[in-house]
Amino acid sequence: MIKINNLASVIIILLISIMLAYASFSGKQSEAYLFPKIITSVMIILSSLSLVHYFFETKKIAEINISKLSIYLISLILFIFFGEILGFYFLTIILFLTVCYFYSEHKSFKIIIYNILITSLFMLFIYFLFSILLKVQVPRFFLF
Amino acid sequence: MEFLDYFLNVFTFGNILILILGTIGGLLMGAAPGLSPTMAVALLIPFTFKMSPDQGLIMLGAVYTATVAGGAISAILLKIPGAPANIATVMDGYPMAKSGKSKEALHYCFISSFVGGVVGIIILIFFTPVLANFALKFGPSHMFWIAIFGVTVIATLDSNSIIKGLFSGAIGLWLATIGYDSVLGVERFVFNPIFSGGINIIAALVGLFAIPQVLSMIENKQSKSDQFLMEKKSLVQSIIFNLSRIKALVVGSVTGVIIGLIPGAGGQIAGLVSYDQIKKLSKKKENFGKGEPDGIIAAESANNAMVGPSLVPLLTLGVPGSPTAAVLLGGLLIHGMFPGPYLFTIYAETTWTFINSLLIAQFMMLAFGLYISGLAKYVIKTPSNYMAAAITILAIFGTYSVQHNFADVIVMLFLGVSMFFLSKFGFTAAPIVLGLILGPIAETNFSQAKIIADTQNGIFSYLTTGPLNLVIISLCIVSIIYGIITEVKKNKK
Repeated sequence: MIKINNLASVIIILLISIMLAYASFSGKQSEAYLFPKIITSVMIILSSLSLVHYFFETKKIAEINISKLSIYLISLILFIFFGEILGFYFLTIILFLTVCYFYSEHKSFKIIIYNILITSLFMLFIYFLFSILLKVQVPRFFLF
Repeated sequence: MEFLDYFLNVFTFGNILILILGTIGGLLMGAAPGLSPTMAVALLIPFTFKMSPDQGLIMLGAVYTATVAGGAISAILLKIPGAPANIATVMDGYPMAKSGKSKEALHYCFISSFVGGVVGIIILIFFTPVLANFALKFGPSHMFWIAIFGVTVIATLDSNSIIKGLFSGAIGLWLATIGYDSVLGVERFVFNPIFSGGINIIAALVGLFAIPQVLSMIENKQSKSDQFLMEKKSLVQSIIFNLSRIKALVVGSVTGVIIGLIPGAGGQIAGLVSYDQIKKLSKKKENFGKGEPDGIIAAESANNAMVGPSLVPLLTLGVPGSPTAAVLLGGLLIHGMFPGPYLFTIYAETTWTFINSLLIAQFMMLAFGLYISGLAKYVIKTPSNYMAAAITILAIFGTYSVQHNFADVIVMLFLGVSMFFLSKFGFTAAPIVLGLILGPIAETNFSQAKIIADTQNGIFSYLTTGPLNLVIISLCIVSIIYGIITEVKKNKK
């Protein structure tokens, strides 16, 4: 469990605003950057107000259960890196089975079989909707 | 009463079959995260090429009508708006579903969509020539302020802190500037080649709403029994209650009609503005955001009331009233029909058959929508691990299908995970998405306004003079002041 003070978020948004404002104001063709300059100026004003507001509000701590989320987040990272190489169908089948198994309340052989059945039916629906009906050519690997 | 001469044209076997297929398909496509009305109509245009002009346009019209309403299904059941037009529906729809009233919420959604839709089509039938002139009164400065108004409304509505809400809206507006500048063609903020085309709106919409929802499902791991307790309310009770909410229906329908007429504004603004208005007019303001039926009724009647009027400037002037209407223009052109007066003279039969079919499509949408509402229990009873996996995969395929671009999937996942962490600090997705959607409208009109203003008294004077400008600016200020007062009151409690 990660605990983050609200002050950290206020400082982060202030830094992001300054960074974006720097990028906008250092643009070579000033005409094209006029709108981003206005927006980032507003962002700096709002994030400064947010910092002032922090000292008057009740202090809040955000809790993030990173250990619970880690398997899902790792699955997404793997999908980003290997999605185009290993194909959407192959990887999403693995992703579906992983999420279903690791976040299931009961883990048994029967549940694994049940998960495989659900995954097959769902992926058939996805194949029918996107590949057959909408003719979307997703990246593939070997047979699928 | 020219439309009556062609009314029976809709009732041929082929046309009715197309209407049924278009409505069912539209409802399903609307419910799938990522498949927006614009995309659904765009995907179907090639299929209509082989049909007769009547049948092709009937198909596109039915899909347009049904996807706008269908987007509310996932908004209510999964907290993921099927389309930008359904962002306002999430605010009270999901809390209602969570308190066991999903079926009731869907009933309100489809009944209000029907009422709003019928009002919009009647306006289209009877007031087309008059309203086309009204639509022409909106210049670049007005459009710029309307876009800003949309952002301020959502920032004050969908956030516990007005500063965070406005900051989120500003992030959205800034994200919209990534890629090529629409006026000068200059490349901006392209830190990686995958951003050269800018941030795709559908990728952002799906990512910002779907992925945080999946992550919170996993983190909280609610068991299906305590997540949703089903309450039973009959359809008749829902209809009686819905029709008794006249104020919400009128506010929604009128707002939808007015905003639909403004070229480029779109359903997302209609839903949000009507939600904002009904909240301000309601005696039970504190119930909004916690499952207030009036919130759903106003938002859904508005986004469907927008459908008919958004076609007014399209059919009469060739200026689309919404992004979907812009795609529909392609549907007209491939059948050799050019918008303008000829549509109502040379092509009168096809045009009036199309408009009449939109009216019949509302009845079909109501019937099939109410039937689907009964099936909602199967969706919400699905265990959270299956739901999380299914939403992620639908989000991935749905996002990829928009432009066949893997970069969109990466952007979707990145924005989604970032949004989950931002939500822990009180930031919400809706202002970011709306900022992203309205950003190009705001910037393009700002640039056009600046070009005009350079020949006059300067940009500040151009943007702040004229009655229409002053009215919209006042609305923006009222919206922010209202948000501040509400927040101060809430903090005192």
